[in-house]
Amino acid sequence: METEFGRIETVRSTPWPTRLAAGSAVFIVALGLTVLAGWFSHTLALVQILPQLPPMTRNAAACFLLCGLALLCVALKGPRWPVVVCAGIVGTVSVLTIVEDVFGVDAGIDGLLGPSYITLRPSSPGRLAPVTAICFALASLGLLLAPKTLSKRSALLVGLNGSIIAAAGIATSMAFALGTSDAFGWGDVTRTAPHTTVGLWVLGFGMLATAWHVETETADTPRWLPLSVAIVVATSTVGVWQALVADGYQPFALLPAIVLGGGCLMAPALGLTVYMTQQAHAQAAALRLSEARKAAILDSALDCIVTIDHQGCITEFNLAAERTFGYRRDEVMGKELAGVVIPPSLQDEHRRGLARYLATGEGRVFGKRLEMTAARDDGSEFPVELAITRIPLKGAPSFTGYLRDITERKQSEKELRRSEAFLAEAQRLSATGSFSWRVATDEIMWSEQLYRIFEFDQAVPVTLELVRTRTHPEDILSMYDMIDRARRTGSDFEYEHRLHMPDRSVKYLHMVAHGTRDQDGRVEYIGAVQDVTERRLSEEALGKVRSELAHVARVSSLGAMSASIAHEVNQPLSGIITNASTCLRMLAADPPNVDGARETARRTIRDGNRASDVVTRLRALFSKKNATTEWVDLNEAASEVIALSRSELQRNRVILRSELADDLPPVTGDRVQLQQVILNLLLNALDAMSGVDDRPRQLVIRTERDEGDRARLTVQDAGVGLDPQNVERLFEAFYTTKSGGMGIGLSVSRSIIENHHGRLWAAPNEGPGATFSFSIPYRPEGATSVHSLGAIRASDVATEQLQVMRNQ
Amino acid sequence: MVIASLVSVVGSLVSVVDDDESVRESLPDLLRELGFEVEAFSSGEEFLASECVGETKCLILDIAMPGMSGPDLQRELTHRGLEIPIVFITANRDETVRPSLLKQGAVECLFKPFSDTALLDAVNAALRVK
Repeated sequence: METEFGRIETVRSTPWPTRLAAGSAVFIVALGLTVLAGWFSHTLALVQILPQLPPMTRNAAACFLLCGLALLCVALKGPRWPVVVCAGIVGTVSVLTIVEDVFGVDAGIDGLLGPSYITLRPSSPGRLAPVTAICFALASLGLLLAPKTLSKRSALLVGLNGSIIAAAGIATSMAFALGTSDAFGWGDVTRTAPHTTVGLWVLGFGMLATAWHVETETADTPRWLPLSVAIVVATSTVGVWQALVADGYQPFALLPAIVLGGGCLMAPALGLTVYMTQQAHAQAAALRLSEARKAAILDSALDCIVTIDHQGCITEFNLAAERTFGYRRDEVMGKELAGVVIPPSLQDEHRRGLARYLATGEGRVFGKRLEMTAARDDGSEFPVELAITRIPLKGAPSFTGYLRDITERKQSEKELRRSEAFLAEAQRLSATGSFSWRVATDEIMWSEQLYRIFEFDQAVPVTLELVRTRTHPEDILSMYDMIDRARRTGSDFEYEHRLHMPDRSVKYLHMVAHGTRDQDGRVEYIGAVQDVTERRLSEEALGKVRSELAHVARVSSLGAMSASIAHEVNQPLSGIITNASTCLRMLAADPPNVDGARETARRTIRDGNRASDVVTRLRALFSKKNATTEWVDLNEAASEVIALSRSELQRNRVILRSELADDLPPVTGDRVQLQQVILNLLLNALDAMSGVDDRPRQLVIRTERDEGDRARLTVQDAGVGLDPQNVERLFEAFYTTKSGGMGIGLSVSRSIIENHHGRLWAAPNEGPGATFSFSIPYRPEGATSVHSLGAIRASDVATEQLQVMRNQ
Repeated sequence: MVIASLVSVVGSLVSVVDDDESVRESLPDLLRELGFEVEAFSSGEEFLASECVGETKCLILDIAMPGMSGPDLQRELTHRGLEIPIVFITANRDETVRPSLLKQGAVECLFKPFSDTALLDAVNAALRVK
């Protein structure tokens, strides 16, 4: 910031010192040229001004010319070499002249530029006056040592040299004004010409201006100014005193004594005064800079910044505050804060708090983040975030408040809370929890409801291990299987499993999870878990009732059918027996009633035929040909059955693997009947595994080509297995190994497969469980009729099972 | 006395009510061979409309018939104050039906097919009731 403002200052400042320096340089160049021209053209007025006055020597004129050029180069930041050349010559000439004066020798430089044909004093005509020589020596030193860009130190040198030269010039000029040419002159050495004195103070001021220009970059006036002033005063005093003495005064007569004493007092006094003034200016400038900085900070701050004094009146009100509250700064400055930005309901509290702090020094609000209500100029109120500090200054305290309008934040916080509450309530009502699971790191996040479902404290971090402790022992294997699959594939999954709660109760959970991948391909699952315990329990109860009902219906319909068959058969049987009895009695009579016996025998035959008709009718009833023949894709048929059985499989915690051959040709047959067989095998497998808890309930459904243009479907379970001795009995009607079974499923299935010209068989596995397979030809030879009592009854039974499962 | 009672037995009218024609053909013949007078009817309504209602000493009645069933006819007769001994016959071998029928006043319940001796015993038992 500092350099920022410094640069702005530089750009704004008028480059008058540069112009002054350049002007001075041009002036003395012109002076030198003019006098030289006077010498060469013998125009005495240019050299001497007045006949009784000392002339400016050729060397002095040349030195002015060279010093002017050098100064011009320095002031305008021109090339370095002319400075060195010019100042070098000037330095050489002036130093040699001083040597001549001091040691009384002639270095042969006095007449270098031609003879001095004007002689006012007897000694060394054409030689530089001593004060002029010293001034030029100082000037050349300053110019030679000044680098192209002046540093503070070189500026000091140039400035002080300039001061001395200017002072000497002024003193000699003043001496002329006082009527003597003897300022800084002694003995019979050359006196300084009046226009030389003018040239000297112009040269001095030119150098001062050059040095000034550098110094103003950090302050209004050069640091060396007090010293320079003191030197100027002291030099001038000495010059004037010396001129007075030369003019005939006793050295310590009244006037010279006053001049010398006053000058010696004035020099440090004036220097000190200038120094003090400089300090005051510097402080004022620093204060202005600091004020400017503060204003810039205040106005660019995003927060409202409001400062009040101990009376509660506003002393600072920044741009952000103007924007937020709607007041203009000048409207509210000096007004009481309470009446401006504090809502009426809080004004008294604010006044009391301020009074309490002023009385007791007890401040409750400092250094804290507060939330309050503020009022705009239109009276509308809004929430703000606020921090108050006391400005650490002596005297009456003042306070600064930093405020921020948090309406939007409050609004979004409120909306967020609302939406969270909404979600939480929805989760609670639907007994559904949600979770996320980063597969790579196993970071798991649970919603509140999920914690409630699992009955864990919300402080407990969720891990798979924690989930495992609640999982029902029988479901742990399939849970790990599910986790493995999720890790491997990252694909969506849907899953049901049970929890074993500490109070030994069981919960049923239904989980749906969607796998997503981040930019780095890491899998994260987002999922929902619903507690379906009540639904599952009522489904189970319903299922039980349904199957009991189905059983009852089946048994009673069988009973009704057998009663009906018995009735139909008993009627003619009754006739046969009655007629036969009558016939015997008629033959046994004496005489035998042969005609009657013949009649009753005829009726016996008739009733026998009638009984036979009944049986034929029954057969016809059961062998209705309603099986259809079509192309059946066994893979498709199996997939449909698997899809229908999905929930049944999950309910039984069975892990199903289907290995369906890609190149399986379609078979010919009744799709529904074949699906009934597949379903029957699948349900049998489920039943066989229902008691298995020590190993995964693995079920494999496989389709493949079989030899002899046949397709084979295999259902392999990990259940209780088969007794090899009873394998064939399995397929007999009414043979069952199941407590609740009717024992007709497999016999019916076999008759269906045989009607498809296929084969159904069973074999024990090498490991646990059994494998049931059927194999049917792609094209049954000449077989279009599918007839069997079993097939039709079985189809009814299986259709009923399918129906039951669809309804679930 | 013995002869009189015998005659009364021999001359007793037995009515058969059954919707099955073969029963209506065969059963009267057998009963006649056994010495009874027999009338056969295809329904309860036909029997009630006939003149035999008052004469009948034993009623052999099928249970399941279209229209009026056997037990319906039994109730109707009771309603009219006619106490005719009834022997039920049925092709449905439902053992649970028998006790309830006997309880309601039937002399016997025979399941088809039945033997001639079982029939004779039942009819004699019915006639003895009178």
